[in-house]
Amino acid sequence: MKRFIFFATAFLVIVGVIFVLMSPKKLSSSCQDCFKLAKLGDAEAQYQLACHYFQGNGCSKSERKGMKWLKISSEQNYAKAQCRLGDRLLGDDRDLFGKKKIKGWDLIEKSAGQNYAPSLCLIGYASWKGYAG
Amino acid sequence: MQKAVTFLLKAAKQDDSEAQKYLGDIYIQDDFVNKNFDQTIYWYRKAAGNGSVSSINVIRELSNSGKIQVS
Repeated sequence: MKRFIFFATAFLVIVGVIFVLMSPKKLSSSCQDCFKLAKLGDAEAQYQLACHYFQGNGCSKSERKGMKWLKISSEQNYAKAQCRLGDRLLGDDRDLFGKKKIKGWDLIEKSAGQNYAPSLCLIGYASWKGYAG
Repeated sequence: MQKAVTFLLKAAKQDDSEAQKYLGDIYIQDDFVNKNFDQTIYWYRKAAGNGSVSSINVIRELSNSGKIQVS
């Protein structure tokens, strides 16, 4: 009986620890503010929320959620998000057919079209080094 | 190369330190038709002023080798 109680207690403790570790971190207040504005369609807030998710800053780190908000922001023609998403697509190793690279450059060019300095710099550097046409 | 310079100049004029550093690198290249040492120094100084550590190091090296004077 004692042995049963010991194992049952140990099991519950282990399950509890796993539950605590796996449960998503509650959003910090700055993250919550971003989330509210992002839901309302604010492109900068959507971009900032993506950054929060990528870094796990004030929320649980999530590449998937970060990419989701970055895409939403870039679809609003937000230059910062287009540049960052483009850069991420260019660096994606799982791009077997080169489609992500094409999409990545397309986004960076769109962003550069809005005179966004980091995108202009990326294109300039790529042209210099012969990475882009 | 000219396309690269055009894009980098647009970014550099917005105080993008990375673009300024690359322009410094390009203007010092032997194979660049518009090679211009004054432009190199100008852009390295700009980049250094915007916090580019590698540009600060390049200026220090050029200064140590006597190619420029740092006041």
